[in-house]
Amino acid sequence: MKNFYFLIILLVSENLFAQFGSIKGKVTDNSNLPLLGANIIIEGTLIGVATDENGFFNIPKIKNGNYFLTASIVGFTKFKSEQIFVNNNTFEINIKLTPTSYQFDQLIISANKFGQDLREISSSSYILDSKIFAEKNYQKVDDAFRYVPGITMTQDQISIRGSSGYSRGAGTRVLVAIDGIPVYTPDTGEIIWELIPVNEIERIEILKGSSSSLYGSSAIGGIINIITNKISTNPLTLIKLEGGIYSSPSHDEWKWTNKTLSFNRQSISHSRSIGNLNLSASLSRFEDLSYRKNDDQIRYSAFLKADYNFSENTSLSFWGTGYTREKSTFIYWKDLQNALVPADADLGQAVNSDRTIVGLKFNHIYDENLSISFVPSAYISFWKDQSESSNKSSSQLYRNELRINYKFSDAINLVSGVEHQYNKVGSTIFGNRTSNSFGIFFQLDFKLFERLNLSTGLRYDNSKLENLENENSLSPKLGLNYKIDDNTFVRASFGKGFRTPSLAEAFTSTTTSSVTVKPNPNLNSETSLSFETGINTNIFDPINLDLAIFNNEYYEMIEPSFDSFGDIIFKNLTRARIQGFEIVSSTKLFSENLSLKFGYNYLWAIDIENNEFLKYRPKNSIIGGIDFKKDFFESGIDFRYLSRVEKIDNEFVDLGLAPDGDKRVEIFVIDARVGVNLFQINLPGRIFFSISNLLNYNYVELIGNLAPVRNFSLSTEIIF
Amino acid sequence: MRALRILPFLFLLLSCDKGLSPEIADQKAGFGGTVTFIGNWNSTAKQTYVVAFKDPLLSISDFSIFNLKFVSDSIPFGSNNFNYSTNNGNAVLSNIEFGDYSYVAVAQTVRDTLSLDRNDWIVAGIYTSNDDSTQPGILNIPQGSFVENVNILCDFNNPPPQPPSEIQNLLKSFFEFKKSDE
Repeated sequence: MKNFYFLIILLVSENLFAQFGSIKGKVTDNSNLPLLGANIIIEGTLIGVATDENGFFNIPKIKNGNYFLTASIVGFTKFKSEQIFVNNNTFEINIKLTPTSYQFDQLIISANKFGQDLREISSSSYILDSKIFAEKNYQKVDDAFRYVPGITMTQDQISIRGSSGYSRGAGTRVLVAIDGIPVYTPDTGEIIWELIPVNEIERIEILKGSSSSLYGSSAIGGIINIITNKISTNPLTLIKLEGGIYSSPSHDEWKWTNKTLSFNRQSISHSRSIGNLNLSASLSRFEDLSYRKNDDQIRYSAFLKADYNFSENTSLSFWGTGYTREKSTFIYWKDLQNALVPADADLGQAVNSDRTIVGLKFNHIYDENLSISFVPSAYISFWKDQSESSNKSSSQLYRNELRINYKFSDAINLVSGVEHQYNKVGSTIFGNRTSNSFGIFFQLDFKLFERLNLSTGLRYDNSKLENLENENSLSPKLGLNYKIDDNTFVRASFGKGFRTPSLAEAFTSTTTSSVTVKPNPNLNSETSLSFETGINTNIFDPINLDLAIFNNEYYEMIEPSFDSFGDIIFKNLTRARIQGFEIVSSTKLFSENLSLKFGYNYLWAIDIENNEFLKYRPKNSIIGGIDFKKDFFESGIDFRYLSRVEKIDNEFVDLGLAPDGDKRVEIFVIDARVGVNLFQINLPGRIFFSISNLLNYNYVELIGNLAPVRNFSLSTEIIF
Repeated sequence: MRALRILPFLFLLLSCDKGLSPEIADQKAGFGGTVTFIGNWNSTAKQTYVVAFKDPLLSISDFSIFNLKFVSDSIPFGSNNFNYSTNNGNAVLSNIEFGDYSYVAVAQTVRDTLSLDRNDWIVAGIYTSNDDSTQPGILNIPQGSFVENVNILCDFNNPPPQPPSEIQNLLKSFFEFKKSDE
């Protein structure tokens, strides 16, 4: 530690004698319209800013020297400047960005915890732009993941490349984070999607494959990092109103009410600057009568984000999100004759929940080589149900991360840090439990011969779950990316992943809807070895193609299973192997008015011990999309197909808990939308009409749960 | 552009298939009949049920919750006749689909609560086929059918052969061991 302080003192003292200049300028598009939120970065350093609403930027206090500047923003080709010479002067540059056909000229920060070109990282990734939430009227962030190649949702449980089946909300194998802070619940370790405010999303970075070497437990199957909007410095108010109705079910037998079933959402947000303080806040209310009986909900949400700049190099940012919700409980249908009605015993059941997450980031840039961040966060969760047993759970998760980014040279970059997490649960079904975990990580990224990027990482974790034995885990990683030419990049990565069981998996003891779950205090962590290789190329302009092959070996995979009494218990059951390949392609045609995307994923997910397919993993999945834009008119169609899953929890059917639960089909869904984006003609609004499940196709993702029937929605958005 | 012309046909084709439908569910598959009791009820029997197992009861492991598909509502103590139906909403467990059921019986428990321990059960009567009135008969339920007159006679003075239990298994193993020893 002494050496570390000495290093910092040395770097700071070196700063005192250095001489400085600055770089400023403006970023515009082809029509000379200013671009807000473009990322301006001095290449090879940690220094960067975003453009303001007039497209201006200013990077002060740059040590004298020669630099290259990059500018990037979603939907535009990345710009790289000629060499810039700073010598006690202010260098001015005007940058014009041209729209791009592809998504690859973007920065991704989740891969290695610093900004990198999307095509230069060693594992498969995907970026979702926030505009899809406005255009498709998605009510929850996970609705968008159903159209990402390689991702499947089993109701609300996410799986990247078959990493997860369905475990009734206990544990996740995909680490979901908001601005880099994980957001799984303290007790069950699940992701509550409703907690993520869709209006506040700038973009979503998705990394496929194990990322435990940087992110630790739960990143065993991948990472989803949700980046929130930058705060507007000028006062800005957004009002959004949405409403929709569900179609009648396609079979008269399923009609359970004569009422028109609807949903609606109202939200308002405002952002502004007060001196050095930038503030953004939003409130929303969502009500859903649901297409199913006893599945309605009402939810009130709030989001707050604030940035304060103490100086040019020191900043503090805060965000918090929370909701209070009352939701009726629909567990399984009564039977296929009554697919939109729950079992009689579940009628009237509901759960009240209050959840809040707050995150803080204190960031200090010592110079263009060294920056330090301290990131504490807290997740407070409370829920209670209205069953006879009156279950309730109050839980807290506190997390602290100290991160150091250091650039040894233009070619060598270090990311390192320590992380501590403490969970505390008081619950009628999990008991009074605590868990502690500690992690330390290092990652070195090398850029060699201008073409080769090499990434090596190592993380050590120690976790202690209540009175269970200490678990230690070492997660190494090696990644390569080689640029064959400007159009073709090949990549390969190898890594070890691990996941400690959630408190719910180890200690749940409850009976709900005749299903009894037993605790298993002997549960161990699961581990994985992941390998993937891929290529990203423009086979011919303007088609971009990305191919990947992957092989993931899982050891002591934690899966829910049934004992001889028909009770559920989580066990280290499976030695599993998940192999497959993925093809993703996109293009823009006709002066970029027409966009096409396509993705295919093949999975071979086998429980090696029992030589059978893993549950809830479709072998084949296809997504496709067509977007057409002309001036302010926009329209699009999305399509997805998933083959019938090979294996499900048949025990629920055998035990008579979910009658007809084994009835399932392949999934075939089409969504369509049409709207006007008045921002294109300098009017402050957007109106979109959307149809989900256009064909009113009936399918299940989970046994005894019919997916939403066709529904129509209209959204209007005004900004002033 | 040819691809675009195909789209409307594709839509038509797709809209023909609506995925899951209620018709896929078995049309009230099930069975029912009358249980007739002869003789005096044993006072040690606490609960009496009609039960149905999918697979034959060849070993103790076949006496499993996953093999048990039907448990009727409790038959009142001392009854002479009892009408039952798998589609009766009062059944303790009813998970009947079409297919063969290898063991349909009237079983009595020696405990007040429903136990899944084989040793807590005594079989008072079995469904037999016409060919052999001493052995369990296989009950076949065709798809979408409700099979009536699955009648069971319980003669307390002449109980049917009991399915394997732990004690029987031990005895069987013992005799097999002795046999091989000889």
